[in-house]
Amino acid sequence: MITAKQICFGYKKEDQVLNGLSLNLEHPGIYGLLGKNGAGKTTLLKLLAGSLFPDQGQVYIDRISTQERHISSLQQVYYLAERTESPDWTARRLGNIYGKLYPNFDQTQYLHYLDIFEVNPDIRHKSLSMGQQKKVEISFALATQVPYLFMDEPTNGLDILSKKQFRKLISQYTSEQQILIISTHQFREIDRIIDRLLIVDNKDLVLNQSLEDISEQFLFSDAPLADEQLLYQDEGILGKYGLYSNPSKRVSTLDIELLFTAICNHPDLLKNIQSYENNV
Amino acid sequence: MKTTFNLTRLGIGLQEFYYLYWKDFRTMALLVLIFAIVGNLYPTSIFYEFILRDSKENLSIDTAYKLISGKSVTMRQLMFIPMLLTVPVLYQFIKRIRTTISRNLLPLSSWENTLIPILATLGILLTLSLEIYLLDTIITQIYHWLFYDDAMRLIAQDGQLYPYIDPYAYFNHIPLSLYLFSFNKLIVIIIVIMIGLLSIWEMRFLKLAGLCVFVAGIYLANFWISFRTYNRAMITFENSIGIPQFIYNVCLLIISLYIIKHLFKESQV
Repeated sequence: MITAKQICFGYKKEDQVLNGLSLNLEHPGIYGLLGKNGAGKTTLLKLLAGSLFPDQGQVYIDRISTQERHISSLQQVYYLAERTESPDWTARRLGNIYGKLYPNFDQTQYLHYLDIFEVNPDIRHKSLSMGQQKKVEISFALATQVPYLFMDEPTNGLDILSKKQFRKLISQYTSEQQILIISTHQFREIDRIIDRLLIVDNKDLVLNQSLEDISEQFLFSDAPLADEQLLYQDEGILGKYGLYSNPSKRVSTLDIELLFTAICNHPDLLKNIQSYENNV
Repeated sequence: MKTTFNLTRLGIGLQEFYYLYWKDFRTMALLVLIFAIVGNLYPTSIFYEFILRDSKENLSIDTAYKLISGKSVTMRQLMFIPMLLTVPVLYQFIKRIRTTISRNLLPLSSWENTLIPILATLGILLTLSLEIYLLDTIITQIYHWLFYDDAMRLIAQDGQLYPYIDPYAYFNHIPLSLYLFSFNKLIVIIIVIMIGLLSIWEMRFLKLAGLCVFVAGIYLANFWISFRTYNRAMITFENSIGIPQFIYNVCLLIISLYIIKHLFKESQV
């Protein structure tokens, strides 16, 4: 379990990116991490992975503080950065050397993922295109089979077909015990594969819920609903989209974009719905 | 202990270091070779004049004295080429740990990250020293074979039947003390460079100031325990290694390793 307790962090003292954020990651599954530009998504992922240390508060990986840089913690986490970082080795050598550092790393699986992505494992990193380099890193990250896998904008640089392959790989090969957080701006790339949603806004984590719970809590509709309370309305190309409260637990198709826009534009929306539900 | 230091992980780290910088090692080895060749073949050098001379038998008396008085400076300076070349490699390695998130988060402890560059640098220095030793042996043998008899005959004709042959003469190998002295200095310099690079990266100016005091201390202490003798280079490890000096070196190494380990542990990307 990863626990963040009241963490504050800023790259400059006077400008905090995250302020008093708390988070418990205990439910395995695929998390989508959303937030506006500069909201602190990458910072949060780096803090959870132990690449950055909070100015205040603590992050624990299985009760061990990330600041201890304990080997057992580091072996459980893999952070896939937005830009490619691998040395100029062949993908095979990358697996042969760095793979040994992760106890569950599977070289055969790694080569299999590369095969799915149609990347030759014997070509040096710098000779590959940016998209192919990204594919190598995604394949390596998945093959580590670490319990906590963080991916920062993993589909940046991938073509349409590769994005599809990425989604397929994620849904097929992420184990049931794994926690995978994907930070992205591309809602539609992940909406079918994620189980839970995290939203960072106003220097804090404002939402950490399963899609199931969100669907029970909210009703999404492009037609006016007279019997439910309208929480937020957004003008789309094809008409008006409404976010409604859902006390009667009606079924609707989750619209992540609408929910995200609503939360960002009305920070009190989640508090209001909570009090509304309590009243009902 | 297993979690903070593990030989398998250290081996993986060294393997990583090798595959990252093997091209640099190759360049270093090549540069040492080129420097050794150029150092003996530059215009006005003994070899150069020997090749250009019409009559190979006629060695001048000046050249004969030059041959016994000391090698060209270039050959001695060859010892410091490895150090100059290892600094950029160390810089790149530390930069990689300090700027690449996936490398920074690799399951390698701060002790392992400390020992990887130090052991790798030791390996480079030993390999290059071996190369220098082999080159020196070959070059010395060539000088011996080509010029020794003629030079001795000419000097004897000049009246010196028992001439003093300098330890650094063309006919002698580079003395072992110079290897030891260079090695000792190189390790200290490399450790200091590592601490400096790590401190600068963190912009910890207090540590940087501490580093300056540390460096000054090293050199003052080294100056104090070293001695000079007439017509010889400064020698730290002479025939006997004094206990105080040995203790000093061990303490220095332990303190340095702890500082580097601490700086690695603090590293954030």
